[in-house]
This record gives sequence, C-alpha cells and structure tokens, in this order.
Amino acid sequence: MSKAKIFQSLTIASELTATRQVEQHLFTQLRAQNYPDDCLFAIRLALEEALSNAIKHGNHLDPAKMVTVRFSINPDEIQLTIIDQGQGFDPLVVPDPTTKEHLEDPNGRGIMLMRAYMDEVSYNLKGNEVRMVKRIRPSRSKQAG
Amino acid sequence: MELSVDRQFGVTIVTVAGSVDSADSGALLSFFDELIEAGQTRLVADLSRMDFIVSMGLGVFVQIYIRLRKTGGFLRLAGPQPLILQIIKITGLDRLLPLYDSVAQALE
Repeated sequence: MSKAKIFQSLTIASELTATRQVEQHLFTQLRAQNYPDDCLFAIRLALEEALSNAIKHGNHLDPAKMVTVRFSINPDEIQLTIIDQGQGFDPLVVPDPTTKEHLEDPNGRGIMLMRAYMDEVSYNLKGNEVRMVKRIRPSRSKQAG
Repeated sequence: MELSVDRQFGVTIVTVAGSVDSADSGALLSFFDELIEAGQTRLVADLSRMDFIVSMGLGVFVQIYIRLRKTGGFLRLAGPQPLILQIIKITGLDRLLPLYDSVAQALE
C-alpha cells in the first residue's frame, strides 16, 4: 500500500465485539504506513476507549443505534472521529478518576486514557462525537506513546 | 484473552494472557465471580503475559479487589509488563491495587 493520505468511514453495530472489526480494518492500514509499535498501542487503546464509550454509554447497547468511525491517515498523523446516536454528555463534568473519592469507581477512566495517549481529544457541543489526533514523531513522541 | 488457573500454597493464581479489550471484560469479571463463588478468595492475577488492557478490564480488577477486601480475601496483581504498568499508573490504580514484580513475590 502506498503512503498516501487515506480517508475512510465505517459504521458498526452497538456491540462491544464490533470494535474488533474497526481495529482490524484500521491497523492493517497503519502497519502499511509503518506506524511505530508505541503509536499503534496508543491508537488502539484510545480507539477502544472511545468506541466502548460510544457503544455502552452513548448508544446504551441499543441494537437500533449505530456508531460511525471516520479516519484520516497520513504518514505523520492520524485523525479519528467517533460518532454515536445517543443524547451526548458533557465531558467537563466527568470526575477525575485518580482522586481519592473516585479511585475505587469501577468505571470512568476511559477519557483520561484517551487524553493521555493521544495528542488531541475534543468533543462536539452535544457530546456525542469525539475527535482524536495522534501525531507520529518517533524521536519526540509523548511519554505515554 | 486467555485465562488459566493454578493453585500454589492455598492461593489461586489466575493468568490473564494476551489482550483484554472491552468485549473481553465481561468474561473476565464472570471468571473471577465464579472463582469467588467457589470459595477461592485468595487470588493473584499473573499479568506477565498480558499485552493490552482497556479501562473496562482494569475496572474488573478494581471490583474484584474491593469485593475481596471486604470479605477478608485478597487480589494481588503480579508481573505487569511496562506498557500495562504505565496504564495502571496513569489511572492512579497503582495507589489502590497491590502490585508485585512477580507471582513469586505476590505469594510471599
């Protein structure tokens, strides 16, 4: 595969196993672009977190609702947009899971991991669409990947 | 994800190998639930062959750890690889979950 810019869109059902379809499709292309292993790890983790949030918390596992994933791949950057059909939420009110009050919560760590492993994470106003960017700078990459 | 069980010195060692994604997390919780219901409440999770885990999977360890702490049992995490340890530290769970370099150390 040539190292050209790629735009693609996938739509998956609101099932947690469906995240594997997206990863399989996406990572074939990222490996062809020679993305380094630490970046692949970071992108996989952030993508899994965003997709599971969309499926579980956005669409509430409703089989009538779908999740759309759009991605733009360059040799030096990937942009991912994940859109669910839920009511949305305010990411600013999600508590810090590392505080004493929330450390024992079973959930609520996904957005923190997305922010730690990607270079940009932003939501639309409704809160049902998240856009993430990872820049590929092997010699100057973030500690987290 | 591959799960296997061993017993040493009265402790149940659960090896969680490979990748723990969102779809695996329910099966991971059920696996631990069944062990606890069978009376096995002294648990070590061997993470040395785990290469990926999502927050939902970490949440399973949190739930099991808290449940066993309340009932006098324990859950210890042993041997996480650097990439897994990094996720645990970023989420602050190194301040909650007992971490050991190896299964042998977790059994001491």
